[in-house]
Amino acid sequence: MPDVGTLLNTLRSPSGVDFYPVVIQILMVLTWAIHMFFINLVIGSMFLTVYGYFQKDLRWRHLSQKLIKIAIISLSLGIVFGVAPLLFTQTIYDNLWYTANNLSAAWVVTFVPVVIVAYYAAYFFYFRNKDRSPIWLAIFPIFSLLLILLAGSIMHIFSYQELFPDQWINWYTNNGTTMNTDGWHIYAFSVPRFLLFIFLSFFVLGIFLKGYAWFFGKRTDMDQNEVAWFGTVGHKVAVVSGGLLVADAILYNILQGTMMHPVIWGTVGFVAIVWALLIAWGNRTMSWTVPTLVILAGLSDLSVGIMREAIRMIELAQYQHTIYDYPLNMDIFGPIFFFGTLFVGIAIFSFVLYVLYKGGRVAGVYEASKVEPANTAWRMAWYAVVMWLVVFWGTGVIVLSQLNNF
Amino acid sequence: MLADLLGFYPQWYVPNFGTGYVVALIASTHVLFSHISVGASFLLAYLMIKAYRGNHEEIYGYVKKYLFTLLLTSYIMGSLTGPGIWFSTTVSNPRGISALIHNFVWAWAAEWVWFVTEVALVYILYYIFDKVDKKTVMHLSWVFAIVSWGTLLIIVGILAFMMSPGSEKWFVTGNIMDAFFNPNYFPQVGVRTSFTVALAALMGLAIATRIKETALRQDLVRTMSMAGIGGLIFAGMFMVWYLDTLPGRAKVTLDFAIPPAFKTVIFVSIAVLALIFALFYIWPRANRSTAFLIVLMVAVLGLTIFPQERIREWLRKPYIAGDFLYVNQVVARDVPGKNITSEIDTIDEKGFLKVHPFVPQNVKTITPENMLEAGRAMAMISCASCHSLDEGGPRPLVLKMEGITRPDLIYQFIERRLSGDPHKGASPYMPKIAGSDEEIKALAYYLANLNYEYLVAKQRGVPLAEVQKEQLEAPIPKPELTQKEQPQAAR
Repeated sequence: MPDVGTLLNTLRSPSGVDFYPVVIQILMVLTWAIHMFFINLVIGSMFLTVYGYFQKDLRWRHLSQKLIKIAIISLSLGIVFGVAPLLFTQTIYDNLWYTANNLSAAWVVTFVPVVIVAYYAAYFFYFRNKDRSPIWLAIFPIFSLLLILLAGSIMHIFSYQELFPDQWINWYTNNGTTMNTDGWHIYAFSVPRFLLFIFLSFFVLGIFLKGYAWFFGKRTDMDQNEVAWFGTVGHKVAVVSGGLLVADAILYNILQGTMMHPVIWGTVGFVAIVWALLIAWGNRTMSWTVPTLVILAGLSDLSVGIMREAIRMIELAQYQHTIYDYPLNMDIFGPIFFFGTLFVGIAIFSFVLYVLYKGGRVAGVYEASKVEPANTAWRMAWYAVVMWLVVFWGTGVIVLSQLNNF
Repeated sequence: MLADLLGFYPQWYVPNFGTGYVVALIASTHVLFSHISVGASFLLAYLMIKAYRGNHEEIYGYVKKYLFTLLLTSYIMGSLTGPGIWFSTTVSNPRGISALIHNFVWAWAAEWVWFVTEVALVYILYYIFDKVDKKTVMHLSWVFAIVSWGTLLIIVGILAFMMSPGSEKWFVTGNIMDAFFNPNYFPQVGVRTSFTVALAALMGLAIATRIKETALRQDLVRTMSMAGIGGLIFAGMFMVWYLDTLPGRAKVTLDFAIPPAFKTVIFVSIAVLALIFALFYIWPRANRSTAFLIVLMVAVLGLTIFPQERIREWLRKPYIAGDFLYVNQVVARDVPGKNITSEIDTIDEKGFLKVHPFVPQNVKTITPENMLEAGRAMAMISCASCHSLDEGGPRPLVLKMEGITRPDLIYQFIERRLSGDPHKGASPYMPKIAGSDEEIKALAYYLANLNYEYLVAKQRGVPLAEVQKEQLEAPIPKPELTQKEQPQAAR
């Protein structure tokens, strides 16, 4: 059996990384937090849409209709934002990720069809969920929710198996006797860790619903009593789940043996503070409390992301392994390419989000093209896109024109 | 100094199906939907500008429906099967995908920016279609088209590198730009972009069937037919350039190994499509059936993209990426620009089973007792990426060497055909076999046994697996191991 530290270093890509691992790590945690925010909305919405569908009160049926729409849009955004942390983890934690995946390979390829079916089942419910639609229709969101939980479990398995590099070879070879090539084996699962993400989902969705009630609180074309009630439901859900979340985070870290680390204290403590503020601000009517809580809910995801990363680093430190010594072949063209494109993306989103925010808060058609700030934002976005194309093609022509030297 | 351990991951094997087919299933679905979505985004932008300039309310109505159809098809199947390719390659060829990720992490991250923007925009366009003024929607549709195309512009750089870096430059510099903008890049962008225009034209023709205003409908049909013909002509021209940039070994494979049926199917499909576009241009009223156009689109995609992607995968061999990593995940040559050294010498010297971390301890050292098991482990890590060890699945080994039950003959075959040296009869698309002499003998012994079991199964008319369960007494004489590799106890 090779030494675990040697094994971990050997399993790294021979190509090395082309920029500072810490930058990739920060991007990984940040994008993971955004991804998880949307996935939390999906899971929370799916649970509540099912619950609401079974209630007799028509307001619950309306909430169920809103929530299924939130769920399908969030699922799309959760998927696209999930691509980035998946990319970055393959770069700096390739040794962990590829091994943990290949140990349970069949589950890896099960993931995508599971989510596709979950998606279409949710969409079907979205189309059919009306005030008088039949109870049996609930079979679709229930099926969809179960599949989404299965997909979540699959992801959990990979993330969790990553933490046991000392076991990998024994697991795969049945203690040195065979090769488990079928890919259906699951070697590690932590219920408290899995539940942590479920509680987090209720917590984030609850606060999101408060934010929903705040954002649409001035729309004259919406039933304001109902909108305010959505906020009340969200508050109750967030208060209960927040307590469970903090308790479960402590339980999981105790079981993992990481509870005493200051970063763990800091991140769990942050979530506990957000929960406390949620309770403390429950009856306040100041306009800033709700948007502040929504931002804090997003930061709670970031906090859990940092906690998750800290646990991984603590576990790897046992084997004197760290990503910070990943062999580096510095190449700044890659980061320039990415950050340049990101800048253009931000320019586009500045325009789009401005129009969405302004348009969303008024009734009727919003004439964005007649509003000067929107026009300025549009021009900047368009120039940025065109410039990106020019620089991109230009670089290609320059690079290829120098090819003959080789 | 040679390493004692190399970075191989646990091997996944799908009996009678193969991990490669799992990737092919997901990747082909993705290619289909992603090409549709790029073409569709340009069609959308074109229709929006046409509707806005002519104030055609009728077109707006169809555009909104069309957006929703896109959202439900391309943007669910396309956006999930995209990461799905990563998932499937992660478990079928982890070192292959890792090599690409580590060279192109920032290019992929840039593509992700476009991907996020594209998916967010498709939802936003749909949900704000009636909530903001049409000029703003039209503006957004153009951004949507460019970023959708942007994802193609970036991924093609990675695909082009997979085929070949195209010169020695990247091997020396290790620079991402040299890998990305390789000679294969621009022609491949040209082929794919032109083809998406032809696809968009087909979708535009489908929308035109629904338009009631006669003059508008005829105008749309003519414009779309012309765009379709133009797309196909440009695709053909870029294809000629593309073929010219292929590495020499790929040209040999293309000329001599790819079945002519593949090429004929692509050529005939394109010709038929061009004829249909021409017919609609001359006689716009013939464009009446949406169902016909949808069937045509599925047929064209099936008959052009699938064989094209299959051929591309074939031409890449024996490498999985960048002319340095074999399909069986062994690093086949030095890449000084990345400080990568070939693993062939280490594996030949120390043995593949020994340096592979996830090979069980009981077959690391080959003995007469474990020879069959060791041979199977060798087949699993050296061959199973492309060849099925069963009777079904991709390129089954029992069909490749059907009937040969003499280990010495198989050993000779491996030594020559997989020598990596064309003068000894090496195949241009097979990797050089890496491993110690004893391991290759064990592999030959396993293959001889496998063939024997297969022959017995055929004779009895039962599945191979049934015969394997019986654990037939090996009738094949075991090859001699060299003294050097025998364990102390056996000497």
